Amino acid sequence: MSDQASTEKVKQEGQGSSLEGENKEIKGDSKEESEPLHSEDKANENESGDHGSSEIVKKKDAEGGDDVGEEEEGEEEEGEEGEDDDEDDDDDEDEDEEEGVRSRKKSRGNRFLDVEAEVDEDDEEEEDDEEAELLKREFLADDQAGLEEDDEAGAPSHVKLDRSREKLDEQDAQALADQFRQRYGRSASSRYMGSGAKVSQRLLLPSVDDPSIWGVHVRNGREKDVVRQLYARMFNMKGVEGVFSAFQRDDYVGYVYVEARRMDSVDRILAGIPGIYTSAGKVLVPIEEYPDLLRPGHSEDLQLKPGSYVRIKSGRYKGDLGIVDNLAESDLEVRVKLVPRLDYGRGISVGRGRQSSTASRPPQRPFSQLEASQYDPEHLTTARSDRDYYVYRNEEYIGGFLYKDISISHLVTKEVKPSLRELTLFNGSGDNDGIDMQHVARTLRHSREAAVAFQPNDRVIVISGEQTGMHGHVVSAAQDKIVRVILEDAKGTTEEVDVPSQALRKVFLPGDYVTVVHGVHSGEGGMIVRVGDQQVTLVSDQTGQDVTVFPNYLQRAAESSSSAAAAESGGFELHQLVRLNSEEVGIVLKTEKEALSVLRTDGRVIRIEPEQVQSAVTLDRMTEKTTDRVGSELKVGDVVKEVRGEKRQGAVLHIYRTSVFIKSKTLVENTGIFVADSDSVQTVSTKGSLVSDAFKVPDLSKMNPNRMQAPQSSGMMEAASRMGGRDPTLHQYVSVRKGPYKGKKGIVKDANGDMARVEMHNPAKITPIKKTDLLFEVRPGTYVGYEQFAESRGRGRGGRGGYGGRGSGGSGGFGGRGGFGGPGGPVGEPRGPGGYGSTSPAVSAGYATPAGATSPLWSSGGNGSGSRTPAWSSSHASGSGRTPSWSSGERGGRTPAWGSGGRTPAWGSGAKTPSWTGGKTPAWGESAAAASSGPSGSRSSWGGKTSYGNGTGGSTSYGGGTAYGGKSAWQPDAESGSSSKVSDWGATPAAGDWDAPTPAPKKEDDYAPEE
Amino acid sequence: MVVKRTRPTPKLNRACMLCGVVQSMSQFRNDGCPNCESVLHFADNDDLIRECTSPTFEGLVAFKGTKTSWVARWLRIENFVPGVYAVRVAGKLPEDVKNDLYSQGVEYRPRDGSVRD
Repeated sequence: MSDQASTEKVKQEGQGSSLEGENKEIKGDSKEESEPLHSEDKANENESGDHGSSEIVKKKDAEGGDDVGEEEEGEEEEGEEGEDDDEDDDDDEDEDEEEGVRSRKKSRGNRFLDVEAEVDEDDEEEEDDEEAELLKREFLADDQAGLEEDDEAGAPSHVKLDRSREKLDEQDAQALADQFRQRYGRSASSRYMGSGAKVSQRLLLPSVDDPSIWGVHVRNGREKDVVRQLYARMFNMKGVEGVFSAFQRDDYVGYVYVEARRMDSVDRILAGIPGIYTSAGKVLVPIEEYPDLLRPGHSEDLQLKPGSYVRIKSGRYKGDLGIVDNLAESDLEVRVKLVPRLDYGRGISVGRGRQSSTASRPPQRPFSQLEASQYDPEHLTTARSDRDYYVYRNEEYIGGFLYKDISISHLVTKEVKPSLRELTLFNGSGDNDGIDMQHVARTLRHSREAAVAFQPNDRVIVISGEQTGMHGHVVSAAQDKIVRVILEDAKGTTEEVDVPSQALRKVFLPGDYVTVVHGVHSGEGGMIVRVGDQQVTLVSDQTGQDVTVFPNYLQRAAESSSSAAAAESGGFELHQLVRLNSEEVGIVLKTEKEALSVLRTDGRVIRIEPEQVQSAVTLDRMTEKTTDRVGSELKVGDVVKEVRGEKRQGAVLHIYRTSVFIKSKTLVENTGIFVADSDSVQTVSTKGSLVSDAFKVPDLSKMNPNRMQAPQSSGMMEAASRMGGRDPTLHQYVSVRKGPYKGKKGIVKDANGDMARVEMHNPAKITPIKKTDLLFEVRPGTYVGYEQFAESRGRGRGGRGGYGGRGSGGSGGFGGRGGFGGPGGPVGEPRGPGGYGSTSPAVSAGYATPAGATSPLWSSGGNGSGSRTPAWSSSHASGSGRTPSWSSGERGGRTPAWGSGGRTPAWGSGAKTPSWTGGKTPAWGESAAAASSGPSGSRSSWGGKTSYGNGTGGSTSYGGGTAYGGKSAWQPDAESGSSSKVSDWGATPAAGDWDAPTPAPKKEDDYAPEE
Repeated sequence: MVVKRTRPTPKLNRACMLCGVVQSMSQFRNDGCPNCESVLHFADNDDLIRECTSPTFEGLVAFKGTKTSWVARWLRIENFVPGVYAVRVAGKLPEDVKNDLYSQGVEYRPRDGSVRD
């Protein structure tokens, strides 16, 4: 019904009502009946158009007592209509006067036409035709004109006649109404009254003039009964006329709300209804909360869609998971896909009586045509095997699943969370993978919304609302469900708006690296290969397979493998060693939401739930060791190769007893992880350095200083230098001499081939730069080109290698440093070459030695206590031979050379090495100690130099410095590092000596800032 | 009045999707919808009842039939007969019924909470 039409209708009613009111007025005036005031009042109020007048009338009615009870209903209706009139007046104030007058006139005339008018009303409603109404009004008005005079003249007699007729009428009114209602009940109500649907609900918001709403506490579960009882009481009870409605909402458990003007009528209507907590009192609901009470609520609560998950409430499939296949149009019946529970007539449970017993029902299994035809052929009626469609016992089975129409009331539709096991049942018959996840997601709406997290800088597209289709990026998502987004339109103008997160979809491009944050594939990460309309396909790092997910389930991953590896399932990480039972352990190959793929020591891959894992195996890297086939030590990180079979090669991930878990980069199966017995593998390279075939001594031997021979170490140096080992440029301070970063300074963080990844000081980032474009700082402020650097390093290379390899290389490494210093140092320069030139093994060794002395400190920084000792001792070992040469050699000249040469690189590189800072003190101390333990004073003196570098240890070494001076007092003590340190230093304190190394401390200061 | 009773009265109540009145199936069958009978002819039309009424509804409102009631106005039932109404009725009228209503000049506003204003 159109707006205008309804307004028109209301007017009509208003006229009708005032007509009746007028009649009353007349009646009251002339007859002086029981309630003259009352009628008067009412008439006045009607005319005045005062809001709520009808209410007062009603109250009066109520107070009027039982004798007027018969009239109550009729009058009430009038009152309401009067109010309607009032409302109408509100709407068109301008018409008010005119209309009022006219209606009064009309009504006066119409008192003879009472019945007719009512009939008219009905007729009018039948026809929405406005013109007809207008015509009628005019017609009536014309009538009036004539009648009015009549009225004035012969009022008394007419009025009396009227009065008596009306009296009769009114007495019968109720009865008549009832009669009519009975007789024409259907037709009377048949006119669809409309619901003011065109009026925006905003205009219906409650105001202070509306009745109040009281909340009444009732027993849980009784709410609906109470409402029904209240409904009955509204009509059967006296004195509750002020109650207009009562309602309950499922969301507000334990409350019934009563709408009324006055509280006493609420009390009256509630009195004696069982289940109401009267003691709790009533709550007057604030007006602004009214709409919330009657909000329709979330529509999706009741909405099922094909693909939603449901559970069956009763019957043989009670508790089973079903997938909605289709919905009846009215949403009342659902076709559900189920995994059948059939025993094909073999068991008793097929019988009707046993259906509800869940205990004895057959297990869930896909429908088997074979079994059905074998055991129960008479019930297998239709078979269209080409489409895998069967009817068995009047139920449809398609593709092995049961399709059943079930009333929605027999289904649990909310918060159905399918378990993995159930999903695999549905997946068993080769459904496509993607569908599953989407359906889970759809069903698990709540968790989904929680999981969709937008992060700043996420690219998004708006998918609903005014801005639909606009792209932008997230500025912040501080609020729950509201995301602040900068939108950009085609012209490039930007606009910052707040958008609800439901209205956003993330946008990804092929090639983006992402992690799945929600859904079945949660935790997987990978590269996007395809971006579809609503979904994104990525290649999972974990499985190597395509995974299709919603874009909102993805999050851009900052770091590729690490974040993927960090994916956890039940607290287990990828590649973690877990204990399956008292004997078995396995390595986690894949983590999913509810399952782990574990490779056991016997080489089999099993899929288990995280709960089935007994515990994680905690292994200390130090203890995760074994020996390979030839007896070499095998540690985590070493590269090994199978000696038999496929000769697979890979890096050791974990070692458990004799089982070695290896990750290969070339294998595909099990994401490259395989398990091998330690006896069947051979070390290719140890972690950090390669082990050549030529040199295949057990690592352990290197720890024994007695077994470490000088020649061997030098040979090793060469080997190591050939092998490469640690890149010499690593951790060097560099300055860029070419390219966009020219002039910038930084530290080499990583080096590979001729490229170095340089961490810039400013801007702080890591950039790959050609090594040849770098200048290396050999001393503070002194830079050399790469070629020169490499050359100098080449000499020291062995040392570096040795350093890396600890034992043998250690000394060499230091030699390297020394050598390095040689060319760089002003004093050392002339000397250095000489030294080198003469470097007969002895000299080089000599170099190496002191270096070796320092080397422990280096290595100590890097390798910890264990490594330090051997390293040191090795240098010690070699030193024994060398020291003499050292001391006897160019000591005078050397010393400065050492001072500058040796120091510089040492400091320089030392400062750079991260380990340096940590290991500095002990290292130096150690070296000092080492020096002191060295047989020759010169060596110890060297150690002194070293030691000078630091505080406590420094002082000790200082003693070393003293030793430098030639204090041989040391030597006696020098046997044991630590003891010698303390005592010696105590003995040695030569202030003068102290002076000599002083420059060094300065150096240190210089370096400090750079560190 | 001849009452056709082919099966026992279902206890399950149903709500009219158009006006929201809550009645039993048999009431709909025997008397139709007290409000919508003129536009939806429920009486003795089980199929239509099944299509246009819903057993799934929420929020029971006892409405006395007075226009004073704000609750009734808010729920847009103020013009309807007194009765028990539902705040929310799941389901929507079928498309053909909707079109039919439209041609009769009746605006259908789904009561399933999907329409807001």
